[in-house]
Amino acid sequence: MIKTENLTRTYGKGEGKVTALDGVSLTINDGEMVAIIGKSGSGKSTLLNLIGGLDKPTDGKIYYNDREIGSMKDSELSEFRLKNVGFVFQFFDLIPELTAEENVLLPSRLAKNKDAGADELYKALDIGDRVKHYPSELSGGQQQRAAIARALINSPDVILCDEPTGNLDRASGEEVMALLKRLNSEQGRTVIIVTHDRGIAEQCGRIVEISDGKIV
Amino acid sequence: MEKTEITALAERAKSGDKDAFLQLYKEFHGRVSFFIRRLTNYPQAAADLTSDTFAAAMERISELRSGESFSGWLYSIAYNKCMQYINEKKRNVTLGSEAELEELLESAALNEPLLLPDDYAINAETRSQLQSIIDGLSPDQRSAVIMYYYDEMSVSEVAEAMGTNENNVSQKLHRARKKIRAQIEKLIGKGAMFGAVPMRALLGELDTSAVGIAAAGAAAIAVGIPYGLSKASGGTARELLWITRKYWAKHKKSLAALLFSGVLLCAVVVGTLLQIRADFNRSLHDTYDRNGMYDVLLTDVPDTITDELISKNASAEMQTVSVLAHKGSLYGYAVTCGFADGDISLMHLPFESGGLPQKANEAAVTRDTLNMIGWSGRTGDTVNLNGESYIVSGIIDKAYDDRTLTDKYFRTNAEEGADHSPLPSVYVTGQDNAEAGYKVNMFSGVAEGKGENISYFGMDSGSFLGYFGNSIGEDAWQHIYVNDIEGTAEGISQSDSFLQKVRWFLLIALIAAVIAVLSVFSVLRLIFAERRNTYEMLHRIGVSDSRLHVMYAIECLCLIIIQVTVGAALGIAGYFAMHTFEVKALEYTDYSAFTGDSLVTGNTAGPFIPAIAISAAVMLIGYISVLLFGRENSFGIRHRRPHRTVFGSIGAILGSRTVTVIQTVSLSLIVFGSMLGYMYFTDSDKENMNMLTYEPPESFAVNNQIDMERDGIAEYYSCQRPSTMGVQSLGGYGLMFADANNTNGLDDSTVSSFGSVTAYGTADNTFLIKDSEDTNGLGGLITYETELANEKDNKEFIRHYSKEQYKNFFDKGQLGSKYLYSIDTKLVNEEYLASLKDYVYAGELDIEAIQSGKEVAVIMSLPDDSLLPVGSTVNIGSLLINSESGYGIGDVSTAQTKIGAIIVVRPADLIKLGGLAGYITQSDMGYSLITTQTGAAALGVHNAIYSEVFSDHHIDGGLVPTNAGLELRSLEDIRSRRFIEKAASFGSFGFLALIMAALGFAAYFNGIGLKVRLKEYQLSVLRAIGASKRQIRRRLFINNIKIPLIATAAASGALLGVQKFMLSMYDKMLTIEPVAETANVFDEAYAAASDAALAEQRSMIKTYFLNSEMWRVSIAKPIILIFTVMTAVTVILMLMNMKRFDKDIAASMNRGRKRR
Repeated sequence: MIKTENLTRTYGKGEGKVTALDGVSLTINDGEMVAIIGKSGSGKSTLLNLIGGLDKPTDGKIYYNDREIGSMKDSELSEFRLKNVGFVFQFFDLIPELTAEENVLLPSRLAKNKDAGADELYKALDIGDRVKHYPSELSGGQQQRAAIARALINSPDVILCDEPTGNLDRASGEEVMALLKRLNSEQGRTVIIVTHDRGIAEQCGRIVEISDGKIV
Repeated sequence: MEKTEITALAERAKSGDKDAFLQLYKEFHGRVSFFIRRLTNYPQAAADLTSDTFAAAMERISELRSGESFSGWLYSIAYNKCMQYINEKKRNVTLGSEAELEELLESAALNEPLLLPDDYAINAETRSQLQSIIDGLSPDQRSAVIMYYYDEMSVSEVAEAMGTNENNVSQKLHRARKKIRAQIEKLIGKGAMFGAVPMRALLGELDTSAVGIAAAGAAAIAVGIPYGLSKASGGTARELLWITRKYWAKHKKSLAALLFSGVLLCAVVVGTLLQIRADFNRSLHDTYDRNGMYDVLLTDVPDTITDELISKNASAEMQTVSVLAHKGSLYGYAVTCGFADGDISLMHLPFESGGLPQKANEAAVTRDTLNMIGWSGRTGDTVNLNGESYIVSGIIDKAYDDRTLTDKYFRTNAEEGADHSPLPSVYVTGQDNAEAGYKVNMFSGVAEGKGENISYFGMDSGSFLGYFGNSIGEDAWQHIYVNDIEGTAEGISQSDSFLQKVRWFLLIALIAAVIAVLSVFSVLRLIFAERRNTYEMLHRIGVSDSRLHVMYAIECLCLIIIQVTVGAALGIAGYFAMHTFEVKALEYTDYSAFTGDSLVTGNTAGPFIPAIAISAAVMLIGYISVLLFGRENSFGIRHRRPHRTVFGSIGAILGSRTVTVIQTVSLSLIVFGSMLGYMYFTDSDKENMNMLTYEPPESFAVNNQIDMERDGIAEYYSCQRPSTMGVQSLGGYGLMFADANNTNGLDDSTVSSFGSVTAYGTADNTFLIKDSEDTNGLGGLITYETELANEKDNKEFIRHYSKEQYKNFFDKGQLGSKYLYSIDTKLVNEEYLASLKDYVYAGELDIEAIQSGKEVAVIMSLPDDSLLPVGSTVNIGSLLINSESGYGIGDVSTAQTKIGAIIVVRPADLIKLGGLAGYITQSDMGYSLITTQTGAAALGVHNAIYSEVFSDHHIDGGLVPTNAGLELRSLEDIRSRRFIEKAASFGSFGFLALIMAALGFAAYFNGIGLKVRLKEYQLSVLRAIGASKRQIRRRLFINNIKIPLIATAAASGALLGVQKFMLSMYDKMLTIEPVAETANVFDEAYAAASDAALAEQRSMIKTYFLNSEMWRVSIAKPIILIFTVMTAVTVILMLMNMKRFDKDIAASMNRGRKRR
């Protein structure tokens, strides 16, 4: 269970202060598939980043089951991200200097896991023949599937997606969504998707709408 | 169509009026179509997009907020249509985000410089007019303008503040700008010259503060240059330049980093070449000072021959000095006088002070002549020539007296006439001295050959001499002097020391240039990466590649101009600092690098062209290489073996080949260069340490050098010894007069306040008075009785200038008729005198008796107790000069005392006693009197004062009376002065090495930050997927530390290799032997072979810098030190740069994405 309490994130100081997230309290149960929607600048990405431990809240708390991640030290938080959370980003964010396979295996190596399960992942994601290639040599869809494989390699309970289909053509986008739905329904992983696309959001079990940093 | 009309039409259209919309369509179609064409760069699609835009507008007209915002709203639809289209068309190309693009377009349009007349900032009238224009804007326009430009608010902030939308604000701003411009045009007229001035600078005028005006003026100039260039380049869009300028204004640090290397390189090259030029000029002119600039000098040559010579060589420069042979008499001494019209530039008279006489009552005199007559005045004082008073207009340096041509000039005997001297020692003006004894003709630039076969006027030297010898005849006097000026210049430019300097310069400049290129390249690379989004956007809105290239060319040119201007100015400033130091502190002759002398300019490189060329080339190469190789994608992705470990993977991510290569190469070079400098100065320093002996002050009159280190002297004070004037006598020892005006020196009471010191002084104006000739062997007899005939002139002369009561000094029965023996009175302080007790040979050293003048001691280096036996009574006398006439006797004192002790310091004891004893015991006669200052004063010895004080500790300067004329010399000072002197003689190279180090370190340290910044994206992705900071840090550390490691290793390897090579060349050079069939050294073939061997050795010494021992200097310690420091700085910088990943990983990912 993921629970946020009065989560607030502000940027800047004084007159230039911007409140991106304004006291958001939200509970997401294990195995839920949740869409967070809102216009650009509404604070939805900020919320996702805070949930994923990429950013620290100005105020408020985030609980994973009973662990509060906002107050974790850097090394603990890194460990937490590595083992409990998988990220999927709009721009895939594969490291260009590494092959798809190296990208996928990076988290497992960081966690000192054996490279077990990678082959199944490639098969499931249908990228087996492309893993030796560099990201620049892959299509958008392939890149996103490799990114999903990277998110899954350490078998995290939670998958956080920031506009996962935003940079894909319609067919690839649908494939990615199907994949995420399968991960949720078949493997019971919690999936949180940030999107501004109602069509995508409606494929999720629950929609949380954010506007001006607040849940509507 | 008026704005209000549009608003009205839009309102009508909003409420469903189709006719109104049609009118709007007509009004806006052209503009929107143009906008779309510009934005998409696809003309064939523009028509479709335009109609799409209007279709969408009509469909959504009800969403229009107000009629006023219609055009902004319409454009935003058009804009969105275009973006959609571009996105579909070029899906695979990453565009800058919409927000970014919007922002850029908006700011580009609004901040575009407003064109204003050039002189607006300085003209008070137009300024007030401008202010009234701004006041004349509508209230909302004015507040928008002020908020946006003056308060630097963003459009959205202004919109919020004004309770309207952003479109509206932008429109207000646009209109305000338009209005301002229209008003100005109305005021000034359309044809006026306009220079671009940024809006904000104009608004600064609302303050009407001087600072604002200055800033605006500077901005106008800054904008004006690129603007002019833009015009010249055929109308490259002003916006481009504006954006570029905006970029640089925002990234001042990057600009500084970029210009840093080039500016310094230019400064160094300018400074060093100027320094080399100055060195050359100094060497050349010092040679002229010693020889004059003439090639051939003839005396007494008939005009017909001179005319013949000149007509054959019309280009020869000729000057004539007329010598009034033997017509001058300075205080009774015959001197050679002469005059010349003009400056006698060919003679190259080196003046110590002043110059040639300009008026009839002025004279320039050589230093030797003045010394000879005992004249100690200065330029502006009076001398007595031929019984008339002359003002000394200048004192000619000793260098002139040392010329071979001018010796024997002094006191020539007019009657004998044989010993002609060609050049005068006193120069007067020519007007009232028309009758010349003979003329000296000097020619310059007529020597046609050099070396052994010098030819004059088309003849070799032998036939030239023969010819003129014959034609002038036996009786005629001639003198030929060859001073091969061309050869002198060539000699200097080819001299070993000069050549080695130039070679060092070239070598170090080369290294510096390579480092500068690397550093420029690395900075530019980052800058280009940062600007890529902007330029891609520009590309998209229709700026062609060629335009961008013109843009880069202009930018590069501007940077080069700034770089070389600032660099050259810095270089000149550096040179002047160095030159001033040399002239003022090191007392070098003041020959500067800025000279029109064609021999100097012809033999040394011009400082500016190479500096500008090198500095410009660095920037140009930087630009070209960045454009060719700088884009990250040009390097492509390297295919390599996959990494199996996380360590390897992170390594692959962090590896930035270009930056690493730049860092490693520049660091290797810098270490190499610094070590060369270290080796060089270590060698030089050793040399300095061996030379810590210094010329003793004048008063010692011995050639021993003080070795301050050996003698444990931390510092000494010294002043000009109290001057004495002598009248030469046949005995070789003169009658010495103490200077009546002496105020320098110290007495015993002052010296005792210094603590334990040695004070020293000497009075050579003392003499012993005997009634009969001494039979013990006293030297220095200066009596006039026996040598009356020969000394008649002197005696009369002295009598003439003496005070009335001493005019009878030489008369019978008076002091001057007795037997006077010249003797020095040495003065040492009580403490030092007591320390000589161990060397008392006879008698007893009764300090008290000596202090009171009852006794004196004799000091000698070989024992002789019969000369001045202990217990004997002696009469001593002392003379003071007549201060009124500056000559003759002013005072005579005599006293009786007793020889109390004989001190003998044998040469062998000198070592034990240290260097000072050497000065104290030695004298011309082999013996002297020795007493304290108090004792000597009691005896009436004139000018009995201490002129030197030696101390093993620092003397508080406050204790030294300011009027004593003492100068402090401390060991530390002399050491540092020696070092600075050494450094100054190679100063430009030291400077160069320093700058090179700065360049290298800048490139390297810049690289560390650059690397982390370039990898920000990768590092933040790594962090996002769970890599901890520690893991990244560890890998970064290894990545970074390997650079100094490789660099120091490479540099040490290279240095060791170079050392080994140079030493092997040294060995090889030593083994070069003459190769000849005969071993007979008298054989011509053998001589030729040995010459050849010598020449080969010399050329090897030159080529491999073998005249330096630096190739033997051990490099281990400094290189370890360098490595340690580098490592420490690397770690610190790395940790500092890691700080940017502290908190918000998402934000740093975004930054990284943008940069990509």
